[in-house]
Amino acid sequence: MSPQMPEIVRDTQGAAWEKRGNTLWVGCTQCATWFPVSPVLTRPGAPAACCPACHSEFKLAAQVPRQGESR
Amino acid sequence: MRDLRTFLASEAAAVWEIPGPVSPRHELTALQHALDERGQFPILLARDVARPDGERSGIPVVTNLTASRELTARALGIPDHRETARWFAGRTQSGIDPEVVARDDAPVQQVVWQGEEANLFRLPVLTQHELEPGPYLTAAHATTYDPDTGVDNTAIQRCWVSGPRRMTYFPYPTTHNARNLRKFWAKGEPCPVAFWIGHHPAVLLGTQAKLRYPESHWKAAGGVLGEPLRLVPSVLHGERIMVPADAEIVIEGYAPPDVYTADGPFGEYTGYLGSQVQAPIFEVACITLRRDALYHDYGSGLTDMLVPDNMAMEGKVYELVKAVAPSLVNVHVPTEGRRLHAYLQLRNPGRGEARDALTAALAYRRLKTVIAVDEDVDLFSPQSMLWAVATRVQWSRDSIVIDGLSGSTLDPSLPEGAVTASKMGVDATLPPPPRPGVPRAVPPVATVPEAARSRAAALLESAPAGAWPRS
Repeated sequence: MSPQMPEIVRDTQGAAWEKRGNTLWVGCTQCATWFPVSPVLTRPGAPAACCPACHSEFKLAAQVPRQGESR
Repeated sequence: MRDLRTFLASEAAAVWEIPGPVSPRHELTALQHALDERGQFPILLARDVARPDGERSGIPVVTNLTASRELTARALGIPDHRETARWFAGRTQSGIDPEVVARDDAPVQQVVWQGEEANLFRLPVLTQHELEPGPYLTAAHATTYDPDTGVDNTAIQRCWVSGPRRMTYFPYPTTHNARNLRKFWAKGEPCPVAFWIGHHPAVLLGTQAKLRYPESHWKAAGGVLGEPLRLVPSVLHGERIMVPADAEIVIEGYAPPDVYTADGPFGEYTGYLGSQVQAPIFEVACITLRRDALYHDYGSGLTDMLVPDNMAMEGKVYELVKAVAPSLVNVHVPTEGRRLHAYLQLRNPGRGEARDALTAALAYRRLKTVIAVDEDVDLFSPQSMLWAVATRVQWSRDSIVIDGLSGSTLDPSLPEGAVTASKMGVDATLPPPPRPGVPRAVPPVATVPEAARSRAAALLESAPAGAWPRS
C-alpha cells in the first residue's frame, strides 16, 4: 500500500446473524495511529480526515473499500 | 483441623456479638435484612436466645456467617473473591479424600441425646419470615445414601420443626437426596438421614459442590478445605452415614415411607415466599452435639445464603462452559440476580464462541439469564455490566431465547402449571476484528492516559470527600 493511502477497515462480511462492528477505522498515513471516522468523511466533497495524534490531513473520499474489503 | 469456632476466632474483628437478649422469632432475621439494606455484612453471634418453647436456650446462634463474599473467599483461602469460579472448579474436581476418626475424637458426639431427650425444641431454631408456620432449620446439611451403591450425598435442605421429635424434610424433587429417598421408599423402607449443622465455611461450601449422581461430597469438601475432612460414623446409622466429626450438632433419624405433611410457606432464595407444599416427615431418634455447641442458621433468601450458594455455582458454571468455550476466563453469579443470573467473561472469543458459552450455561437448571462480556467489563460491577448490555447489544441479533428448558419452579414469573422455563442468553461481547492486526470495527472506549489517572488519584487523596454528595 502506498504510504499516502490511508488504510481503511470496515467489518461487513459474514452471515446476517453474526455480530459485526459498525465503525469505520482509518490508519493515519503519517504516524499509523488508528482512529474511527464517520462515513460522512468518505463521501465526495467531504473535508479531509485529520489524524487526532499528529494532525496530518488526508482525503478519504473515493478510498473507502466496498463492503467486505479492507485496504 | 478447622471448624466453625476456629474460623470465628480467626475473624474475630468481623463478628458482632449482639448485646442483650434477642428473639429467634423474626428479630435475628430482621437484623439481617437491615444489614443487607445497609450493605454491611458482619457475622452475628447471639448468646442470649430463647428456644421455640420460650425457655432460654443456652446454645448461641451464629448467623450471617457467609453474608460477606470477601470474608467467605478468605475463609476458603481464595486471594481475591473475584477468582472464585476457576478456584472452586479446580478444588472440587481434584478433591482430598476424607479420613475417619474414632468417636472419642469427634467433638460433635461429646453429648448424645436419645429418646425423650432428643428434643428439637432444645435448639434455638429461628422463625425467619412472616407467614412461615414456625421455626425452620436452614443450615441443616442432610446426608443420605444411595441404597444401590452405598454412596452418600449431602445437601442443605430446610426442615420445619413441628414437634419435639418431628420435623418436615423437603428435598427438592430433582435433588440427589430426593432420589435416594424415593429408592428407599420404593422398597417400603424408611430413608435414613443425618442432618449436621455448623462447620467451617470451607466445608459448608465444599458440600455444596454440584456433583454427579451418585457422588459423595466429602472429597470435594476436603478439596475446598485444603485438608481431609474428618468424619465419624453417625450414632444411629453407623458407617452407612458418616457425619463431620467437627460439626456442632447432628440430628439423626428416618423419613418414614410415603408419609407427607404440609410444609411452608417458606422464604426462598428468590426473596419471595414459596407456597405451602407437601413434604416428607422426619422422625428424630437422636441428637448429638458438642458440650458448648453453636447453632448455625442461614438467613434464607438473604446474602448470607446467596453468597455461598452462588460461589459454589460459579465453580459449576465455569466447569460446564469451559468445556465448550475455551476463551472463558471468569464467571460471576451475582446476588442481585438471586441465583438466576450468571455473567461470563471471555477473552477474545472467536466467532460463535460467545453463543456456545451462553447455550452451555443456560442448560444449567438454576440459571435463567446469562450475559457474556469481554475482559474489559467488570463482572462484579452492576454499572459496568449494564454499560456493556446498553452499548454492545442489539436484541434481535444478540439475544437467544430458549423456551422449555429445565428451571426453578420457585421463579414467581412462571406461568401457572409450568414445569420448564423460558431462558435468555445475551451476547454483550464486541465483535472480533475483521482480520488480525486491525482494530475491532467498534468505537473505542473513552479513556484517559495512565499518567493523568495517577495524578487524579494523588489529588483525590487530599480531597475533603466526606462532605460531598454520595448520589
